[in-house]
Amino acid sequence: MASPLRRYAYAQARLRARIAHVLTRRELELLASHPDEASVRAELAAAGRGADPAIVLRAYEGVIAMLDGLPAEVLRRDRARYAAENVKLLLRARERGLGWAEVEPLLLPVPELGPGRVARDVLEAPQLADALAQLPPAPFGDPLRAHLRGAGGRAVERIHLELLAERAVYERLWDAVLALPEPDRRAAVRVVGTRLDAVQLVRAARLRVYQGRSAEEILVYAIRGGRALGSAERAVLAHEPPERWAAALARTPYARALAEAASPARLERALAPFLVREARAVLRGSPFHIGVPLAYLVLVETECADVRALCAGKRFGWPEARIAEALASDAGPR
Amino acid sequence: MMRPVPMQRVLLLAPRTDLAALIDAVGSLGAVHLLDLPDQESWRGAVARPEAPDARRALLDRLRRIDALLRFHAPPPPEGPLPALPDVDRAVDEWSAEVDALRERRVQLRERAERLERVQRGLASLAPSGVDPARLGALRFLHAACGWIDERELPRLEESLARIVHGVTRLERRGARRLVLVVSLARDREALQRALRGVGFERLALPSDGDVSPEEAEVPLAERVDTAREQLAGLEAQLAARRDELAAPLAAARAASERELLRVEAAALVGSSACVAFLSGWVPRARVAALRSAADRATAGRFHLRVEDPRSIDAVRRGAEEVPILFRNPAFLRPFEALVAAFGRPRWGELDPTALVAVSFWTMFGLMFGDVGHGAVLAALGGWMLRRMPARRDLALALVQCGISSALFGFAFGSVFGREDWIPALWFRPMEDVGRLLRIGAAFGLVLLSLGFALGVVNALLRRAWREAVLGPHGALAAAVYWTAAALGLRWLASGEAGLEAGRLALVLGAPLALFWACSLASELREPAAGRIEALFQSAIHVIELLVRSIANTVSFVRLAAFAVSHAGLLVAVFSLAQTVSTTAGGSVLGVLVIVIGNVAVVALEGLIVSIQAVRLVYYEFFSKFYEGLGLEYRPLRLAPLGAKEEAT
Repeated sequence: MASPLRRYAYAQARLRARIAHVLTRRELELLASHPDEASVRAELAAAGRGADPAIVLRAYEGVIAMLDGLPAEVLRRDRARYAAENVKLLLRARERGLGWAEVEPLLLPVPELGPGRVARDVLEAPQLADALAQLPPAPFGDPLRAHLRGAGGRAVERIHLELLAERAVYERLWDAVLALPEPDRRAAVRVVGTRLDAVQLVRAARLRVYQGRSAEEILVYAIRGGRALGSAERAVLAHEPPERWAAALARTPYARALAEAASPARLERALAPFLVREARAVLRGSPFHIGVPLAYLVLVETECADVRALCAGKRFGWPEARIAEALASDAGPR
Repeated sequence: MMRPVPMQRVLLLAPRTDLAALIDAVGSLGAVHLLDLPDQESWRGAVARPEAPDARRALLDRLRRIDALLRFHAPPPPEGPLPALPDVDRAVDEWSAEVDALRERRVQLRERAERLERVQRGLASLAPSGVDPARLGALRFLHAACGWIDERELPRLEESLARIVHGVTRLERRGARRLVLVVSLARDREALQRALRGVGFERLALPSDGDVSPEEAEVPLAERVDTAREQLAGLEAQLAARRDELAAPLAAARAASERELLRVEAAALVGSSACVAFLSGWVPRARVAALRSAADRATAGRFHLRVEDPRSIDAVRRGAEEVPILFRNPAFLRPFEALVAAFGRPRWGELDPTALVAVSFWTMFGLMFGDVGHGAVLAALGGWMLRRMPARRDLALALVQCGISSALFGFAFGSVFGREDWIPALWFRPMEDVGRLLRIGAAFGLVLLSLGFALGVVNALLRRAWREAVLGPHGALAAAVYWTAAALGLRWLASGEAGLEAGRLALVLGAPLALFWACSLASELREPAAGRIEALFQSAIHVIELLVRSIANTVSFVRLAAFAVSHAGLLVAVFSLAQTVSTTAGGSVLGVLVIVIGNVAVVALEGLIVSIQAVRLVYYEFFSKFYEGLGLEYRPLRLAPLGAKEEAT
């Protein structure tokens, strides 16, 4: 067996072993029966689990180190989502005039833009143009600077910069997914495409409902990529009111979730299980493709989000049924 | 020479109305190291601190504004009398207003010139497409936008405009970017703008976009660009001229403000009651009479001066109050005074080690860098610097002295520019007797460390720290241990045997060690928090540390021999290389070049390394035995008399 192939096979085997240890819905519900948040956290700490996004980023780091070439690049671009979160945080902090000491602990440790000199320069630069000049060209430095140039000295809205940063990250990820050879591409389209669909739907809902943005803005900041949402579906999201989305998108897998969700936040919660389901689905069948690491990372990320929801639920004294509603994890492999 | 200038503490009482004149007089004298009287233990609560925060803040603000103007241009140092403060205030206001106006005008002109140039570039981009910008601007029912876009963004733009009537015309292409003309109905103008913003559209600047007056519009664009650039250049020239004019007055204003700030800060150290100001400080004994005269002149005789010797002051004896230290050494020792000061000044009552440092530095430098030629080069360089670079006087003096030392050792070693066959060695040649050189290095270390121990004892006695003088880590008992061990070691090195039977050896070396341990143990046991076992271990560690450090410190001086050998060895290598090169064609010239470059490199690099080693031996091996450098620097209030150049304190 050639060495890179053997390495790839070992990576798949190790990841499958790790997937077996991801918390299942049943285990999370058992945790929800604990009397308070402290006992939940103690139990999680004893099991080496937690809600810190750094756990997810460590998982990314470990998996990227196992892979080479395009599959590793796809994961790096996937991880850049967290760098986009850092950009958003820095832009908001600039707007509110927060100091570095307040912002630094909130930044996620990602190589593209983690807590460090560049982030600090972005925060403390006197002008927005100087701040954006600090960003590396990819994934979002160039698009943000182009947007600023296009404004020609007029003020730019922070929300536009945030949307652009997200759009750049997801579209770069999608380009990398489409460049993968088969069968990696097919598996990645299932997982990443479902994620992009969910992000697209929630973003459109938020822009429509919370921000009242125009159709042109929703379309121009939409992510060009995804599994079930194409140009026609994006037009529906931009031009139709959210209550008509379920009917207009009846041929997509998300019609029911769209019909039942009463708000963007509920829609986000309703869409999360779709991603977990696709992750579980790619684990069945052929064992050697990028779907395995992608699925592992989706499951780790979901576990972290669920643990966060669980702790918040215990903190605010939610009943167990309400906590269970907020969980996206599934029952585990069948 | 080994004692700092004797100081006396003074207390000046004068009417508060005379305080300003008194501070001026004291500052002009430049001899009083002021004490913060309201903060002193014995005066706390008895006198108040004059309140002058507004004056200080105002002065700092003025300095900030002057600095802002100084960034405008770095001026030469002021010459002539300093201006009066009210004049400075008025002038700074006027200059700030004038410079701000000029800067604002410059920004406006620069923006205008850039905008016109953008329009010029926009028109040039549009020209090949045959699009008439005037017609675009005249559209009533349509809205048109012309600009550059990343070609990959075009599908996104088309998709976002799908529901509005529009047209996208692709014009010129440059790399990945495309010039496009996008047209929509006038009522969809906002929707078009929103879509364009999201695709990084860079709109071309066109004449209709600018606020051009009808008169301007008749002038050709190129001419308008040239006019704007000429106006900007004219303003830059005006700014440069004004900058040169303001250079000297600005520097003088800064000096006057700094002087005033110093006065205000000095006044904050003065205590005051309802009518009397109390000023206290340390003055060199020889300058007390001058202080009395200055105070007499400033207050017309309405003052009282109390003078105290530090030995009579209880706080000084207890160590609660520091006496500032002013070195008193001949001018030629100034470079080494700086070396000692860099480590720290001696405490009051201690010996000033400058002279000893100088002698040991010269000796170590000469030993490591002994060469008549190299020494002469260093001395000549130092002499040249003395004449040409007065600001580097200390460095120049050190170079002359080290050069002389190097030359003297060069005669002793018989070395001239690395050649050992030109003059006879008055002592011996290092490369021929390395063992002897090693012994000399170690012996020098022994002497210097012994001196260190002796000075440690003397300093402790001068400070009246009797216990430390005898039982301290560098006291007489520790010195006895060191000297006993050194004597035995020397004998063993010379004859190969200690000269004593094992039992007697144990007794001779063990007795002072045991005594040292016992004293150390007693001292540890007196510590309230220490347990017996802990004290036992601590004291044992003190004994081991004494032994190990003394041996390590002494052995460290062997580097003197190592560097002397490396100096000679490097030059042997240079001459060997020169000889090899000289056998080739045109080799004699190359050989001379190799010798010259090799010698220059040795003088520059090795000279530096040897200096660093000598400093290291002084600081870490010698000073560690007796010197802590915890003394206070003497920093008198020094105000230049009005009408003269300002000096820093």
